[in-house]
Amino acid sequence: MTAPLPRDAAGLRERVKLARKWAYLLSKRTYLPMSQAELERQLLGLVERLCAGVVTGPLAHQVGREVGVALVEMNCTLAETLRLSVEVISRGLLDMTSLRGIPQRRDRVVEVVAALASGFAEKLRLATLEQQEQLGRALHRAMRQVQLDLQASEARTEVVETFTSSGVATTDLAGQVLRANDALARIVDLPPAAVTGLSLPDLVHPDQRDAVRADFARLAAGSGEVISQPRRLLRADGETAWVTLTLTPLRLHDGRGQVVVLAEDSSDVSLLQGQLNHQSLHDLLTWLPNRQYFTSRLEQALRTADPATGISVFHLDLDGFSLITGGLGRRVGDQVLKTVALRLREVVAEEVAMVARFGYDEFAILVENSASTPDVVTLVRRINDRLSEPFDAGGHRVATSATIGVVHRPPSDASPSDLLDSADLTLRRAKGGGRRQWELADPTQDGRDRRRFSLAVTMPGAWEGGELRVRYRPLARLADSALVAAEAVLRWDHPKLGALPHEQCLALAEDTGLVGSLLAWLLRTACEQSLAWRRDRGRELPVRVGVTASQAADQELVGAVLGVLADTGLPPRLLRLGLPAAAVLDEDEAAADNARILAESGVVVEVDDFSAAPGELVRVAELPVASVRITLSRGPVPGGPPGGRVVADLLAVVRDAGVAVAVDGLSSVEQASWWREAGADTGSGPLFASASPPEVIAARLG
Amino acid sequence: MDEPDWVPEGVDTSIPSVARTYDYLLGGAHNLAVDRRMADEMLRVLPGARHLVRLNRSFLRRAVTHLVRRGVRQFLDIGSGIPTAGNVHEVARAHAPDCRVVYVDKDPVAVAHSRMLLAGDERTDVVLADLRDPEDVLGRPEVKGLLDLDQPVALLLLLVVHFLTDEEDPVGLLGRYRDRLAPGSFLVVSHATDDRRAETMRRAADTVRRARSRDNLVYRDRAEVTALFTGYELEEPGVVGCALWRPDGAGSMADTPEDNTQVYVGVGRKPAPGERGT
Repeated sequence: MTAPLPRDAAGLRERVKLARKWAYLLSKRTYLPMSQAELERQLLGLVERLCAGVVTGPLAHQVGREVGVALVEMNCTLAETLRLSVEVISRGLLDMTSLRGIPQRRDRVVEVVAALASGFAEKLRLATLEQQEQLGRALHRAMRQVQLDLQASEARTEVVETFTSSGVATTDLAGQVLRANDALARIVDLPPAAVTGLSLPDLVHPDQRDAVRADFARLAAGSGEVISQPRRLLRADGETAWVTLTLTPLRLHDGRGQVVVLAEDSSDVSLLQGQLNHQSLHDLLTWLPNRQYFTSRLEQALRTADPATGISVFHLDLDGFSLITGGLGRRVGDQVLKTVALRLREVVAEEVAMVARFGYDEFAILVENSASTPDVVTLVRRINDRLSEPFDAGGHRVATSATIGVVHRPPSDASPSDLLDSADLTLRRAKGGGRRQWELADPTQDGRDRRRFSLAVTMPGAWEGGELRVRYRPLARLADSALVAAEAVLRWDHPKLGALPHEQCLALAEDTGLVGSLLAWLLRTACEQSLAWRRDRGRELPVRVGVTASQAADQELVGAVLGVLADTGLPPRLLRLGLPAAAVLDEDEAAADNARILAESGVVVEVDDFSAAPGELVRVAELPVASVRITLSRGPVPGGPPGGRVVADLLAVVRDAGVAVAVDGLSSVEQASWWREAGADTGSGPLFASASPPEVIAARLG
Repeated sequence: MDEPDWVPEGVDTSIPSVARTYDYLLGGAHNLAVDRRMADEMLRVLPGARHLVRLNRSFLRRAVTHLVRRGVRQFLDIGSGIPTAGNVHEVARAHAPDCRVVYVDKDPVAVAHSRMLLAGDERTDVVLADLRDPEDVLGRPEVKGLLDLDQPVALLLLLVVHFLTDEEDPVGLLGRYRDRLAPGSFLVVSHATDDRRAETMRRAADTVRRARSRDNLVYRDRAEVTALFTGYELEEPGVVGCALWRPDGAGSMADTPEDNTQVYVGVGRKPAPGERGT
């Protein structure tokens, strides 16, 4: 292709020198996938060909193009490498003494270099097109894979929706059903096609309809929470279906919102289905439900029972049953147990009730009371009357009796296991009295209601009598534990009940309408205390007062706060007011307006019970909020890894908005340092000190 | 082709990909406008960015060459991106044609791309997986099929560990790989640092973050990069600036000292139990 070059050593030296210089310059500009020695070798080959092109005029164009193409193929693709190559090749070729004698040398060099540039450009264009096409194909394949994965995922979802016994629906933010599975249709006893297009709240029992509408409104307002509540659905046959209704917000890519609704049928044993079959839920001898099934039903009944009538649990132990088995044999014993099972079911046949066998000779009955349910005494009498009727078992006339522990109308938040423990204890106590005894467990709920009611009534008197006090909790900087503020909290030193904490005081005060004046008093006491510290200790320590959600939205709040500040003369910047996130974020702007006005007046506004939900983040950035407070025992914010990274990211968002982060409920050094790392500024809780008299804070002021 | 309603970030062409941005900085055209925008912004903040990727690529070539000479024939390249010019298998096979290489990346487009480029090559394979899940990566049939984990393997982690946050515990994570690798295996790491030009590097990291890439750069100092080699014996010259690891010519270095040391690199060998360190 090229004419042989003169085989002179001097010429070769010149060409090697040019190749080395070229290699050096290129390798400083771009990555060439070879060692320096290899690069120099390849470039020397190109230099040889270029020289040949200059020597052999007709080849100049072709050789130049080939070298340009070769450069791109070596991965020299940056414009900078072309400029360098043109420069170094033009000069090098023109300076070569071995080419001096070639006719029209300058023209040939120009021609070769111009062809190099053109070859480079042409090859680069082709390479770029080829690579872009490759990339397009890669994107297509990746996208196709996503589609296939998506189809598989949709198919999985469809299988789950088809075969699950739980109702699954997708609705818009207003609650209108966009799609629903057959199970939901079965639960509400409608034809599957009839469910789509309905309003989900309309399927809910009228008593709970507004609550469910409010749930949807919250999700529509951007709350990212998952709402799960026991609800009653209306069935077309007029019956009620008990379900656990879970609403999960879904944000679509175009910004539209939807809600995925899960209705877990809790009218029957579906709570346990999937894990357990019928046999594992029933006693094989009597075919009564066993303790596990009973417990599950009890849990559900506690949540769903009519609070006006409640439930009752009877725990029975057959008297002297070991005498029957010991004297008459196991087979007779088994027959007696079957008869007892049957008779117990007869006794409660007219009630919504479950009879279960717990142990060898232990039974339990759960009655969901209604207005027509006989009272406990009557039921206990009926049980023993029926059991004591003699019957024939294996040729023997047998009669039995039972000792019974009863828990009547337990509170709806009682745990099933505590309740069964309580029933068992009551039964043991009753057995202490001999056969055919029964005893009633302490009716706690009634007592609690009574106590709360009497407490609220006596609160104003207690306040007057000085039983209500203001205590201070230190708020500390996490970096060095320095005291940065004191939070004023209420405490009621009740002569009989002991100290009632802040939250309970406020709840009681709200019950009685005392809350407005109590808050004003708390504010005034705190402001005066801050001034006292300044006077006595020479240090300004801000005081903090947290208000309830209803106070936060109260029209009177601003007047009350500003009034106290004016009266006491405390600079507004020394008062920090904590408003619950739920109130500040409420659609009704009342609390947000209060926050704005107070912040304009110089009061430091803080948001309490912050959960870093997306809606909260947005709102906090909009409002003149100085800090947010996360309460560890509340809210969904995790207290450490693995959710930690997310928390730190969210806190970064808050801090970027110029809002400080506080954490309440810290109880260990590890916790505090974790939150400090995650971006929290201040902290409070048992780690620093519990609520104390003002002197304790004063001591820390030095 | 119909676009699905929803695509994961790796396939969302409105978000720049690290692999394609890297390709653009190396002079490739396997990239989209969005990638080039991020790269151009990076170049504005850190004009030496082209040098950094060039030097890293050059280090990869030198390290793989070194390992082949040390007898390694199996390579696991995690965070391999788009396998363009000078890939591991090309470099390795230039010295020993029987080398086997598995490329791993979590970018579905880069993986689809790699599969096309490597189609028909019996001694390479490509896996879509995340560095963060060692058990998954090492358990993949492609990995177990091509690599014999009872024999030494070179684990290559180039410009990828700095996308792990401290909470993801890079040292512990690499330890889980180390424990599964046979004695005589090697670890190769390159990792950006802000030991120099801290402010510039912070702005560079901000550029990546702003581009809405899911990956955030976490710079580490020399001691932290050295700690990644826990359980390995570092090959000479230890953990050093990219250009200073066994340079073999002008292409190994840049003219600015900062560019030469902005990325720390190292190669370590896992000793046999009881084997005395050198």
